[in-house]
Amino acid sequence: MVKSLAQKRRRRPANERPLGFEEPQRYYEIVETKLRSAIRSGLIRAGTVLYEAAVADLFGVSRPPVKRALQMLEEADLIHRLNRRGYIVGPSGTTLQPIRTNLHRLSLNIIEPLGTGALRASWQRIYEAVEEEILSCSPFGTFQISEAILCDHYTVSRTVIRDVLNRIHGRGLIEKDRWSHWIAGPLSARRLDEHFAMRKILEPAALIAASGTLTPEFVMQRRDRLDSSSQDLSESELDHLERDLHWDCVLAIKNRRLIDAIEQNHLSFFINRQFAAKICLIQADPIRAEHRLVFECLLLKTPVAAAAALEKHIVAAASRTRSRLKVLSILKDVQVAPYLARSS
Amino acid sequence: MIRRHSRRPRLRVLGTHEILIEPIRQQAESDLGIIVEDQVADSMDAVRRAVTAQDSFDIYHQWHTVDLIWSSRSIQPIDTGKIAGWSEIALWSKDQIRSDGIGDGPQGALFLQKDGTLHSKPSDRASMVPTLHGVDAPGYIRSVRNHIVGKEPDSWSWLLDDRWHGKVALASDPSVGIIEAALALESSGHLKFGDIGNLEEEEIDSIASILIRKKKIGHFRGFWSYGEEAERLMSRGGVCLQSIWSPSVFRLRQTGVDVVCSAPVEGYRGWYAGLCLSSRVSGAVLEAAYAYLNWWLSGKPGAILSRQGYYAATPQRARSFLEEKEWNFWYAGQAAASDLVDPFGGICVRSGDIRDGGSYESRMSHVRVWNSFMDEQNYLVRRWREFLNA
Repeated sequence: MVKSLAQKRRRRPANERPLGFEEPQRYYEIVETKLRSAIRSGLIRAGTVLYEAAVADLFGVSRPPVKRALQMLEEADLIHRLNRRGYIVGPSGTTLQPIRTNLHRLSLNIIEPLGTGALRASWQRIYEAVEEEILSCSPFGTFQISEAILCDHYTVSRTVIRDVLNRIHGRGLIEKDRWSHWIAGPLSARRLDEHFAMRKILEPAALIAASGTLTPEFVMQRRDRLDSSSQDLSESELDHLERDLHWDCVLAIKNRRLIDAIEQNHLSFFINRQFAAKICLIQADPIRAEHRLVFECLLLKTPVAAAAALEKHIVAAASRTRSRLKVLSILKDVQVAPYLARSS
Repeated sequence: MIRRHSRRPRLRVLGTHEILIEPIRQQAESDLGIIVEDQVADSMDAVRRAVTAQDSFDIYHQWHTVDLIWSSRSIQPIDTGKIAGWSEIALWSKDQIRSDGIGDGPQGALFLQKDGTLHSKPSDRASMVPTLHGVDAPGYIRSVRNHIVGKEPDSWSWLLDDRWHGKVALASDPSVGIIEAALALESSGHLKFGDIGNLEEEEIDSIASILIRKKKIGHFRGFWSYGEEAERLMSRGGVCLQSIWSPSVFRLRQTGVDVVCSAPVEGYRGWYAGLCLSSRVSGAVLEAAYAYLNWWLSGKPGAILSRQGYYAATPQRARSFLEEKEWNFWYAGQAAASDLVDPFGGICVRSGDIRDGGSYESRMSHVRVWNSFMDEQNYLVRRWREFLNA
């Protein structure tokens, strides 16, 4: 088991990334780039004192990335050490009168990168990709997750990977074995039932709360899309129909905690998508009839009836999904991410 | 020759080694005037093909997989009005089978309901036409059994009993294997199960961890996927006790291996097989498929496979194609009046032999659990694979 992980690590091409994964810009890179251009353009004058704490405060990040950025600028001989906690702008060997200035007064234009989300926490940038990869393997066996290969795979630190894995653990998708290895799968029918049981409790309540904010046009648009869907649903068609009801309508609420609680049980959608992708197209009739009833009740402004229809739909979907999980049992060798190794 | 063949409908039949035997194929071609192309696989590969290659077969002679292949939309409903002899099928006659066996009994997923699901509630559309059924239990070499356990009654527990260490083999099919392991652990008192026909996640974990430990200390000598592998393990592989199917018992006896099919005090593992129609079949091939389905209930194929220890779905029809001495041995539990032959013409029963476990009624009425595709099928398949790879 360990050997195969080691082999995988050696085999992995250096720049291999999951499809659609965007290489994230790191905090220290953003800080280093901004300071470098500000120094070169003269926006930050020679002699300006840059304390780690002040720069961290300016960018709204912690000290370690700032420290690393300043070290890089020092290596580039754009700044040099003033004292233990600060640098002075200008090449080493120059004697400059230190200028102590309020960095917030400089027009460094750092609002923009913050606004675009480039400064999202490292774990957030890779969380969805890792979760999807772990979900993809979980019906098909027990897999050990290698933190080291995961770090290489996404070029992030152990700290970030542990953060990600702990969050995925919090969702109940992985656990630690007695040797403290992270383990994913195999997914049991009971686990699936538990997710559906939670959805059955939470989603009808959320729909009642959301019903006031859903306009008739919004609901009609989704009902019409349902009516014009294919008889047999592909993975993406199914995903669209599910999103129309279970995301756009049910989650149209402000209660962030309720949204989180519901999203933690979305594993069930994943099984049906896998089934549509790997086994056969999904028969649209039952989903169409059940979703339609919910939309009709919403259009009639009877949220309690809509919630009851939704509950009935979730119960029926649980039974269908359980049968589909059974069918997935016939699949033997599926492709998994390189940091996952089948336990034997 | 080729031109004559080209006018005859061709039926592609998917199934296992034990059922799709050459005498059956030839008899069907000759009786029905069609071309029968058998696609033979072990049980797991057959269901995998039925699910993932739905265009590759017209009929699937399946084994306990109905609800699974229905979910994967591999099969279409069968109009029972077109099946002569439907009402004579023994499996749902309480007069003929008195069994309280648990698990996926023969009627569990038999009839199509209005909501598109399968259920035992009768309707005029069925998921399959039952063809054969029977009971399985471990087989052992008589002399070794007498030496190891003396006069103790037959028991499933022997499969995991230390006294048989290094001499045991199991079926590698997870559905069969997990039930047999569960029966062994239940009867030895190691574990208790809420429903042995539908095991829970923790129960599967407990079974898997015991099996893995047993495997690592060398308890098992081998694993088999189809009958011939099981026979090799017993004739040349040093296996003295194993899960085994009826045709293998009688073939081994022909080669001089004195194998007994046990009659465990705990009861048997029951099984049934049936024909399903591919969801893709239509037109002239569909008509030929219905003819083939009807032929299976005519008694003739049931009689052929009775000679390897299986029971026909319509026993009385099969009887008309069996000699009285054959019926008396295979179904009535009486001593063979003379040597009897298997479907290939080899002598498999010697004059005076009595069938292990007795008559049809006494064997079929002692089903402890039916073969099942449990709710936790996916989980158990994964854990079972870990056991096989351990």
